[in-house]
Amino acid sequence: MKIVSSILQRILVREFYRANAGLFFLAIGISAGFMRSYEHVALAEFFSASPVLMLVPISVWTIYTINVMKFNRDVLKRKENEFIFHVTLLPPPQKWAGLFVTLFYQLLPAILYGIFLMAFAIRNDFMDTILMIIASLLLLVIVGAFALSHALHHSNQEKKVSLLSKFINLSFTKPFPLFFPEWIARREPLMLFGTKIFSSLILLGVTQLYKTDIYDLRLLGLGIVIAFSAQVVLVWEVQRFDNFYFPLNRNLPIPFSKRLLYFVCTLLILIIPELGMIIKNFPAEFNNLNMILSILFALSIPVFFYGWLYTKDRDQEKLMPFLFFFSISWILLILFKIPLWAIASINLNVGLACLKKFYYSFEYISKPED
Amino acid sequence: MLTIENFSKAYSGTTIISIASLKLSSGIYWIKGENGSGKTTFFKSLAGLHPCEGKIQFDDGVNLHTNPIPFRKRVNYSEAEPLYPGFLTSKDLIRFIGKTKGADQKQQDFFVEQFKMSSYFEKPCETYSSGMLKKLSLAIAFLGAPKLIILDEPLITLDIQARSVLIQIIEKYIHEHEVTFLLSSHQALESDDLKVNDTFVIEKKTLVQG
Repeated sequence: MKIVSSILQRILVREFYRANAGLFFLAIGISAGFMRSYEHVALAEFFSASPVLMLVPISVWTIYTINVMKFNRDVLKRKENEFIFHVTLLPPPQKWAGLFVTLFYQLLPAILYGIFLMAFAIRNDFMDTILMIIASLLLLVIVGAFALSHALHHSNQEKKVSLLSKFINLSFTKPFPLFFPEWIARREPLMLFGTKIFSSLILLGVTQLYKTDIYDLRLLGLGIVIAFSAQVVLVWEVQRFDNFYFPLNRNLPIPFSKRLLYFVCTLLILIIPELGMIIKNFPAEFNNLNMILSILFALSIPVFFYGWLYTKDRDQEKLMPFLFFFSISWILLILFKIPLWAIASINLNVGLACLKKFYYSFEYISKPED
Repeated sequence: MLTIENFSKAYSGTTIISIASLKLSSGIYWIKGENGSGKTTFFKSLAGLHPCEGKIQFDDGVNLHTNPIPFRKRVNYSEAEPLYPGFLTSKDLIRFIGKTKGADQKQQDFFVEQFKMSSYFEKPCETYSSGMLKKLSLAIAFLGAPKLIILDEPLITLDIQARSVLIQIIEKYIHEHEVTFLLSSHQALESDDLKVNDTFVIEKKTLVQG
């Protein structure tokens, strides 16, 4: 039983939190950064005061559970996870225990917030609210577990292609720079959109500050560092896609200049929201050259990471201290008035040099094949 | 002719396979070995998918390490169990890979027709059976003007018709284009149809004549 639970947690729970790290980061950022503790308490008392108001957090939990169910279905469709279907062969009590524990861990953020709300409901003796919280969370765990069980028992369903996909596939040939954006949007949509929302909000917030006071370009530079350092998770996924999920890519005779061009095209597609945010809200006191330099600086950060990631295989956990180090370094350089074009130039050159030097010697640390 | 000298491939300091010297001319070379012996690692290293040590060079001096782009233009690889991003169609893959390998659309369409892929050419890979994926992988392996084609377990999951098409194309490529084939197979290669130049077995982490 322990091994079944451990495998389900590694494949479904850990992967779920990893895939949605951007979204959780955003939620923590909003709740810890924009709201003070007494505002959390006031909000909790507001929700718990009436069963009608409780429908707001319950709706959020329901959307969250639907996302969990979709994630579980998608993970089970992956060929590498086919072995999990053996769970269906277990005696029912063992199978259900494993599924309920999995859903419990996946819904933990909702359950913890439910407990937080219950504390206020108990204090104010709102029995209806307490029952609503318990019933709704229990129901969501049960529905999630049943959905997971259904997905496990109906593994071999025919893959349906939508009419729109059929039309696109018949009419167009996808160019290579579109391969990754579609892959990531299908595989980890919440991570993609969480990253986009986070970085767009940072850029929006920073550009709005120019309307209230006089700042030089460095403030926008700092915002760009934070917003575009957050893209490193996407750049990391680009590298995984290029080398792991589409490994034949390494056998293709593509010159470095073209590989970089493909990456920049992919990047431009991915950062459309951030570029739009910079261009639309660019402070009026700076000229167009400054805008171009800011965009160049923004692009230089993912290009730097793209090249640097080839120096050694690192998982996301090992990547974080480096991300922190590089971000702080850029922030310090900006604060010491090093011009953005100079930092951009260093980033681009280092990224290119690393790509050229390490591209063909890069290797995932994995077991040798047959 | 492909020359391999002082080849070695290691993971975390542990040598998986090493070859002191090997010369491969046009024809078929059958590489045998137990599961885990390092056949796929050897193939992937030759195809430039994995980094490795040693000299791997064609007659005219095109070398894996010093001329990575021209070398990759001449070496094609088909995996034992190919996997492609599920949303991509055969058309997306063949057109893109064909372009990089220098295959014109006529050649691309020729292999689509030969392997009877037309019915699913514009359908996403996630709807394919393993046999359909295998055909796609084999069609990709012939694109361009390769001098070395590495086929890892080319016969598995193939139907009889596709198998005979594959054998015909291999014969054609050997006789008309002087291509070297490295094949691995746990099944016996049909000796009547395919004349194997030499057989090698991976034993004790090296290649010995079988």
